[in-house]
Amino acid sequence: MSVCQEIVRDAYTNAGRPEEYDSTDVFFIAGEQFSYTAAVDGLMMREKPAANFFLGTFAAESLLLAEAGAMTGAIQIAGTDSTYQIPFFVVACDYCLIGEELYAASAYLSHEPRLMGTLRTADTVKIIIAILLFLSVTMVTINQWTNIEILNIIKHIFTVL
Amino acid sequence: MRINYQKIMSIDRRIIYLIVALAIAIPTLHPLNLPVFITPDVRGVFEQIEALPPGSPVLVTVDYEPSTTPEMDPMAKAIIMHCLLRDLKLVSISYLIYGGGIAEKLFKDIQELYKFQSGRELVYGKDYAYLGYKPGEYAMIIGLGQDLKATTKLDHYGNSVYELDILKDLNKLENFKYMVCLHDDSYIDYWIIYGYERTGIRIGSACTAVMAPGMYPFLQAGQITGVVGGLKGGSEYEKLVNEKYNLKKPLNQARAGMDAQSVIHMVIILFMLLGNFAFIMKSRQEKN
Amino acid sequence: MEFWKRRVPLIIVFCAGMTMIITYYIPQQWATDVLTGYSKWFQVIQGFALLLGVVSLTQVHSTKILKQRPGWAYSLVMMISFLTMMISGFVWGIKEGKAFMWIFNNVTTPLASTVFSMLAFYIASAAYRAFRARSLEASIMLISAIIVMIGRVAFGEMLSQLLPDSLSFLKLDEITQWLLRSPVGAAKRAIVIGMALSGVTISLRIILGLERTYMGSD
Repeated sequence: MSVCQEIVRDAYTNAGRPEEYDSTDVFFIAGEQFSYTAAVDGLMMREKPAANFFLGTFAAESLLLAEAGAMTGAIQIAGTDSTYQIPFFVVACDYCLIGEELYAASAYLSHEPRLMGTLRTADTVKIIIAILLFLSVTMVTINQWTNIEILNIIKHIFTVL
Repeated sequence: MRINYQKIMSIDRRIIYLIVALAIAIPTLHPLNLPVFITPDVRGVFEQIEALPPGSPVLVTVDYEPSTTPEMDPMAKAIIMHCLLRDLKLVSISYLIYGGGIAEKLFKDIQELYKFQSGRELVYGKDYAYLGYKPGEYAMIIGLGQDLKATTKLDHYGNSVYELDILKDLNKLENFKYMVCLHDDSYIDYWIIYGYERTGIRIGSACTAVMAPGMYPFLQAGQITGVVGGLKGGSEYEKLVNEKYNLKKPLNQARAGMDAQSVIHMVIILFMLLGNFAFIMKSRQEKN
Repeated sequence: MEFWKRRVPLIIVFCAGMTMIITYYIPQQWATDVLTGYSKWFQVIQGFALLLGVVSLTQVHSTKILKQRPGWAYSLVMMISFLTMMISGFVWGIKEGKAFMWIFNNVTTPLASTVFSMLAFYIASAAYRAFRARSLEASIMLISAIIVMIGRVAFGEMLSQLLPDSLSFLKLDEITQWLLRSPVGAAKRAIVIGMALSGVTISLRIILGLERTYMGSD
C-alpha cells in the first residue's frame, strides 16, 4: 500500500498538481479475494467512476469487477499477467492489454529510453527463442523420418539442458 | 409488425439473472440424471493412482481457497477416497494458508465416508497424515525435495513428523510414488518447477474449470499425467471410483451439480444466439 | 540522509535479489536454508505490511463513521466484523472448535462462495452483452465459445454418440479437446513466454536499481 501511495503521489507531482493528492484516496481494503471484490463493487456502484483501470494480478474476481464496472457505464481498460483471466477481461472491458502488453504500455506511453531498452531486450530474446523453437521443431520432425545421427546428438544435448 | 431489436439487445440484466437462477435451481431440485462420459485427462490421474501397489506413499496437496470449496471438495473427496480404498499411504500438506481449515473438514468427512464403506476407522499417523500449512512457498517445495522431515518438523496437530509411522521411510519428495495437487490458482506451477523438474515426482492436477485449459501445455509436455478439471472432472472421477470400488454410498456431489451446469451452459448459448440474432436483424433494418 | 533514504534501500534490494538468484542454482542444503530463511522473512515483512493496511483501513472507516459520511453504516458493519474476528482469534485462539474457526467455517466460507457464485450470473449477462459477431475475430470467438460450452457438458457428448465413427471429426467433445489443446495451448504458451521474459527484465531492472518508482521521488 505504501508503494502504491508513493507512486500515485509521484504521478500527481509529475502532472504538476501535488496539492490535489490525498493519501486517503489510496487505501487498503481487504486481503481476502472476495471481500476485496465485494468492497470494490460497492465502491464502483456508489462513486460511479468515469473510467476503471484493472491492471495487475487478478483471479476469479476479474469478471465480478469488470461486470460491476460495466453496469455503472464506466469505460474500462484492463491488463493482467494472469492468463486465465484475460478472456474475461477481453469480453467485459472496452480495451484489454494482453500478456506483456501490460509491461510494454509504460514504454509506449512515456517513450523513456530505459523503458524502451527493456522492451527491445525482451523482444530480442523472444525472437531468439522463436528461432530456436522453429529450428528444434524442424530438426525433430526431420529426425523422425531420417534418423540422422547429428540430429540425435543435438536432440540429446537439448534434453540434458 | 416492426420488432424493436434494440430492446431485445438491451434486455434488463435482472431478467437474465432470473432466468439463470431458474436454470440452476430447477435441475438441482429435480435431477435430470444426465450421463457422465469419462475423458482421457481424468483417466490420466485415476489410472496412475490405480497402478500403484498398496502401501505406496502418495502426496496430496490441499491448495484451494474457501470460495472454491463447492467446486473442489467433490473431486478432493473422490481422489482421497480412491487413495485410501487402494490402501495407499496418504500424506497431505498445504502450500496455502487456508489449507489448514479446509483439509481438517475434508478429512473429517472422509473419516465418515471411509468408515461407512470399509467398516473401520482411519488411523491417523498410519493410514494418513496431514502436515498442515507450511510457509515458504517455493522454498518449502525445494526443502521437501532435500529433507522432508527437517522442512516440516511438526504436523498440523503438533505431532513431531519423526514419530509418525507413515513418514518412517519418507525423507524426500522423490520418495512419493505420485502426487495430486488440488489447486484453484497457479500453485501447481511451483510444484512442477521445483517438484517435478528437480525430483522427477509424477504429478496429477485437480483444479477448477477455469484453470483446466491452462494445464494442457503441462499435460502435453508430460509434466503432469492428467487433469481433473472442475465439477465435470469431479463427476468423472466419482464415476470411476464408484464403479471400481462398488461404494455402498456412491460419491455423487459433483455429478449432482453437473445437471445444473449442463442446463445453464445451454441457456447461456441461447442468450448468445438471441443477442446475435437481434444484432443481425437490427443491422439489416438499419440498412433497409 | 541521502545515503539512508536512497542508497541503503538500493543496496538491500541488490543483495537480496542476487542472493535469491544465485541460491536457486546451487543444489545444496545451505542454499535451500538461505532461500527458506528469505521466504520466512518475506512473510514476516508481509505481516507487518498487512498491519499498515489494517491501520489505513481503520483510519478510513472510523473517519467515515465519526463524520457520518454517506455509507457510514457499511463502515460500521465492517469495523464490528473486523473487531469480532480479531478479538475472538486473539482471545480464544484459531484451533478447530473455537469461535474464530466457527465464524470462518459458517460465515466467511459461505459468504466467499456466494460472491464467487455470482460469477454465473455475471457470465450470462457478459456473454449476452459482449458476444456479438461484429467482426471475423469476434465471430470465431463466438463459435468457439458455443462449441466448447456444448462439448464440455453431457449434451455435447450425447450428441457425439449419435454420430458414426466415420464422422468422428465432427464430434463436439473431440473438437472441444482439440480447441483446448492446440489453439488455446499454443496461445497460452506464447503469452506465458512473453510475460516471463518481461517479468525477468523488470525484475533485473529493480535488482540493478534502474527501476526506483517503489521508493518514491525525493
